[in-house]
This record gives sequence, C-alpha cells and structure tokens, in this order.
Amino acid sequence: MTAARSGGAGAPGGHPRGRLDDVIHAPVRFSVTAALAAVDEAEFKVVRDAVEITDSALSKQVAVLEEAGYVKVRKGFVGKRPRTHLSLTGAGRDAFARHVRALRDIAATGLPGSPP
Amino acid sequence: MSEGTYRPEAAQAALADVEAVGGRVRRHTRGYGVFVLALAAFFPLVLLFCGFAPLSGAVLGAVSGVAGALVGIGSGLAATRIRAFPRRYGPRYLLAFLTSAALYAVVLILGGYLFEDVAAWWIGGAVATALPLTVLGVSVLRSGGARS
Repeated sequence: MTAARSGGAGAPGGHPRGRLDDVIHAPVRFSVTAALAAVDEAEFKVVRDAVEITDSALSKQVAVLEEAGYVKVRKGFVGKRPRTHLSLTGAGRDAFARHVRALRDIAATGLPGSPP
Repeated sequence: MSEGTYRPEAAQAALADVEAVGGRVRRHTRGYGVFVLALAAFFPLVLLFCGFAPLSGAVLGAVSGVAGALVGIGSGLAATRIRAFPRRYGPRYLLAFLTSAALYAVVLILGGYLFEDVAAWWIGGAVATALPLTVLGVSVLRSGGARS
C-alpha cells in the first residue's frame, strides 16, 4: 500500500512522466497533498478552504489518499464539537516529493536548450 | 493520465499550485506563532516577578509551580484552537521550550543564592529566557506568510 505508484517504467533516462504518482496525480488530490505537505497537520476545514472544494469532495479524496497510505486522519472533539485533522504520512511525503521532482523535470524540458 | 499533463506548461502550472495552496494553509499556522510568542513573554514576566518581589524561596517555588501549571493549561487550550501546525513543530517547540525552561531554572536558582539584589542578573536572565521561544515564534509567523 505504501509502495510508489508510478504511471510508467521510470527507468533511468526515461521521460519523467514515468515518475508521476498515480494517486497524487489527479488535480484535486494533488492540491490536497500539496496543502498537507506545507504543514505538519491541518484541520479538515483549512484544507477544504485552501483547495476550494466541498466537504464531501474532500472526504472522498482523503479516503483515496488514506487508502493509499498517504494521509492520516485524526478525529477528536473540542468540547462537543468534532474536529478532524489531516496529515501526510511519511510515505505520503515521499510520494509527494517524488511527484514534485518529476513535475520539475517535465517543466524543465520546456526550457530553451533543454533536450526534448 | 492525460497527455496534457506531460506538457511543461501543465507541470509549471501544477508547481505554481503547490506554492499557492501551501501558502494558504501555512497562513493558518500563525496562531501557533502567536501562542509561542505569548509563552516567550510569560517566562520573563514570571522571572522578573520572582527576582524583584521580596518573597521566600518556598513562595517562589510555588509561584514557579503555578506558572508551570498555567503553561500546561494554556498549551492544552492552544492545541485545541490552532488550526494548522507548522512543519516539525513538535521537536522545534520542545527544543525552544526546554531551553527557555532550563534558562529560567538556572537564572532563578543562581539568582536566589548569588545575585538576589542584582537587577542586571534578573533583567538579563529574563531576556535570555525569552529568546528561544521568541526566535521560534517569529520564525513561525514569518513562514506563515512566506512561500515554500
């Protein structure tokens, strides 16, 4: 569950798209992961507002990320009010870092003088 | 995955999204920075009170104990209200807090035995005690508005 989920071979010398993570790659999940990568832990509502999606949409994406072992969900109460906190697991941070490196490599291919 | 994702422009847009979303979430860590700065001010205030108030050692110990309990209660309350915690906040907070607490203890104990009437000791000690948590609090507040 915590193994890297690449979209392709990712062999040395291959296109960096092979190193993109299937789970994180979806735009909304990518934004959710990016939001959590910036902090140690954040409230559900903070992530929802930062990514600009609804509660149910975020819940669905979090469920997928949690299933992949990338996100940890912590539920508690403040008085009588329920609070849900989200954080990236170690595997999630590693996967996000790999994904961002692959994106940077793809972006670099568009720079003048870069190989195709 | 769509072919468009492999285009450098799409990758650049995704990377820009990382910055934007991360910045929006990091703004919510400022509450933590404010809490740490409040704690940074609390230590020296208690120390100055202990240093300049004509109290016995037992009373000073009790004051320190009450102050410690207030810190614990305040920390618990803050933890329930802070909406996002900065990266590696646990070890950073622990290091700053323990350093301030150690300085507090040293200043208080040595001051009580050797520098009871030396104002410079208490004032200098108060400043030193405030420094570790102040540095952490300012760092958190600055990164709360900074780019990743």
